[in-house]
Amino acid sequence: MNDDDIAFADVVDLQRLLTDKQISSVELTQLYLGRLEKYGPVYNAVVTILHERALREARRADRERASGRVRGPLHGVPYGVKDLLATPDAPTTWGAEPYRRQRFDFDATVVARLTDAGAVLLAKLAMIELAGGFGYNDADASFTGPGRTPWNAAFWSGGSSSGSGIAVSAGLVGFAIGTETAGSIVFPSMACGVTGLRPTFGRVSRHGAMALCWTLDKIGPLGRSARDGEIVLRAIAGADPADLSAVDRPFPTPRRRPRIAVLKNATKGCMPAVARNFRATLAELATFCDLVPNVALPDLPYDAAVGTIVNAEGAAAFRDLIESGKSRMLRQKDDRNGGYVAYATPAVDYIDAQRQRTLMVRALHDAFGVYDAVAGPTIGTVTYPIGVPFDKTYTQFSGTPDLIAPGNLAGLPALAMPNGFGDHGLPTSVTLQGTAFGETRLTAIGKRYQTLTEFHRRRPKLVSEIRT
Amino acid sequence: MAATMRVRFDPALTADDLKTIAKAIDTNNVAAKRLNPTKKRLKNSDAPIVRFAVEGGER
Repeated sequence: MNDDDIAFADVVDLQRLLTDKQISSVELTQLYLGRLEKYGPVYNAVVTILHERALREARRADRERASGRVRGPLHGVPYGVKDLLATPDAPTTWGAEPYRRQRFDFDATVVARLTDAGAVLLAKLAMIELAGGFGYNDADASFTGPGRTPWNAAFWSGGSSSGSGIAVSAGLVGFAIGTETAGSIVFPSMACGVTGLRPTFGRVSRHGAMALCWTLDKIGPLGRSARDGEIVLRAIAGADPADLSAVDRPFPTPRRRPRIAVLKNATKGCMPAVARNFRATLAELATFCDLVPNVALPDLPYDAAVGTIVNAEGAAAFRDLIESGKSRMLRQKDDRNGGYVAYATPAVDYIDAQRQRTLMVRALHDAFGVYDAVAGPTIGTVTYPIGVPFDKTYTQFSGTPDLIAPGNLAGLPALAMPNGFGDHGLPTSVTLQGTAFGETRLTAIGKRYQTLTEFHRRRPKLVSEIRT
Repeated sequence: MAATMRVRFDPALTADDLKTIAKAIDTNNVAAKRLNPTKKRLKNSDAPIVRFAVEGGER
């Protein structure tokens, strides 16, 4: 195996290399640190590289392995986190200029759990400022600049977990941690051609993570395969006295022949390549699953509800920033005013959105609860060009039903996997949305799908500079 | 309401900023109407999803 083969290996293969002593954790860490230095700035993927911590944790992992102690499948495997998770070694910037010098003196629970699992923290990764809570409308919405997908640097990496998607896609880390309020794991997974697992609300503690929206925020892995997603999720899941929303729940046993609902009109209004790749995905899934076509998404005001809830909770979460007038320090012009717009959300609208949410949870359970998963394209297009406002992009393809808002409002898990390529050489993606706490049923389907396909193994051709 | 933002929080907000903020508030108001549509009004019994739990007391 050459260095590229190693850098793009998934966690299972990396652990095999470490176990077979083909590479040490220190060597693997140095390989990734070098790639983060070289490619991180090109794609705007990184906020801070943690050289000292990474090498310290890697040396510990090697020492323990030499003495016969292996903590588990992540032992000695390097990773990165979205820069909204607290660590004491570097600023935790939330992607936003007003917080560039913010420091915490503890590790977020997710980071502490990964340390306990023997993983090696390499870097704090770039993100959309304040996780996109103030309504950004183009890709240049972080003080690190617009995240660029390694598949075509003129296009956006997706957000808000931009750096997490880029770093996995470009082989800069073994896996990464992202967060999702309403699409921030699955969208960059799609845009960067990686596998993202959004856990059920409450599966993973959010202690030490920036809060945007207490009733929607979730933390989960982005990796190079579905099997990686499950391994990382098992390491970070569970109750935490510091976050009362986090609970211990078992991971269900996958069924031998899963049942998958196919979203009605799933490809209506999609880019042709997205529709074609989705149909091909269904053909693969049909070889080992029972597919039930034309299952309708209940007709409820998902977008209005998610927008209202993010606005109201986001304005409260960042009230100090808004009231201080410092939101004008944000990078993206819509973000600079967005806090004021969010601040003006009437309380009754917020309550009505949460009332609608009660109806949504029931309706989605009634529609999809008997299936292991419901399938649809992650979004109806490939990712967006950098430099064009989102609301002016791909307007001819609007109207595609997607699962992002409904799934997030109901707190349901989702697995986004690359399923082909479309316009401009950009990846497309399929989303499998599960039932509450049914992540392992999704990853079982994902693992099987990825034994039949190789989209998740494709590597982008990286560049060492961007000519603008 | 947009003008109140200037008075309360940020005197540097320009007339253009206020126009942008006012327009976005209007857009949100339109979206809010979809939260309780005339043809499918929320009922008095449709409770919000927010949970409240009491802590402490004798066990």
